[in-house]
Amino acid sequence: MLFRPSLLMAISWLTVSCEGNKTSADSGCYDGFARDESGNCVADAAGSDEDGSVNADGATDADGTTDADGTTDADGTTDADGTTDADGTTDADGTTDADGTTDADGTTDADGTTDADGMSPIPCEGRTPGTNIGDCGENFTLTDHTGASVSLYDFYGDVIILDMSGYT
Amino acid sequence: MCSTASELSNWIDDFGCTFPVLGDFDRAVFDQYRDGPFRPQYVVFDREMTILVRDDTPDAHVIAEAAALAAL
Repeated sequence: MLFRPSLLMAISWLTVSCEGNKTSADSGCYDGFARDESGNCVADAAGSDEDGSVNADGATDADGTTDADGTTDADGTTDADGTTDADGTTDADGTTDADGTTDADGTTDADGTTDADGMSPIPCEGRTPGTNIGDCGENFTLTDHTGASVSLYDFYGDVIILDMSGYT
Repeated sequence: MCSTASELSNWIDDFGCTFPVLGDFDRAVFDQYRDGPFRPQYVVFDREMTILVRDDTPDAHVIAEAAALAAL
C-alpha cells in the first residue's frame, strides 16, 4: 500500500512527459517511444519502430539510421555488423562495398584505394623498385609464345618464381 | 635457345609447360635480374613483389622452391 502513490506518480510522469513531446501522429508518443498495452509511452526496445529512430534491437527501421545489430538498413549508413549497405560507406567486416572506399579486410574494392591488408593496388607504390633481395622488383615486359605482352606486375598479388634456366 | 615466338611455342609443347613462359630474346631481363654469370638462376617475389631470393648457386632451385612455399 505504501508504494502505490509512488507507482502512480511514475506512470503519471511518463504520460505527461510523452504528451508534452509527442511527435508521432500514430502513437502520440515522442520519437522512439510507442504505446504499450496499458497505453503508456515506453521506449521502443524491440521490433520495428514507427519513426525509424534508433532502437535497441536493431531491427530494420524506416529511416535507416544506425541501428544496434547492423542489419541492412535503408540509407546505408555505417552499421555494426558490416553487412553490405546501400551507400557503400565503410563497414566493419570489410566485404566489398559499393563505393569502394577503404574497408577492413582489404579485399578488392571498387576504387582501388589502399585497404587494411596493406597491399596497394599499385605494385611498388611508395617504394623504389630494384633487383636486390628486399627490393620491390623492377617491372619488365616480355612476349609469350602467342606474341602477347606479359609483365612481371601482371602477377602482382601472387608468389612468383622467375626461373631463368632456359638460356643457352 | 629460342629466338622467336614460334620456337618458344614448340619449347612449351615439348616440355608440357603449364606456367607462363616468356621469350627474353635479347636477354634484357636476364641482365636486369642476373645474380652472376651462371645459369640457371632463380628470383622469388612475394605477393607484394618484394624480392625474397635471387640466387645462381647450384642449390638455387631448392632455395627458391622453399622460399616460394614459405611465402604462400
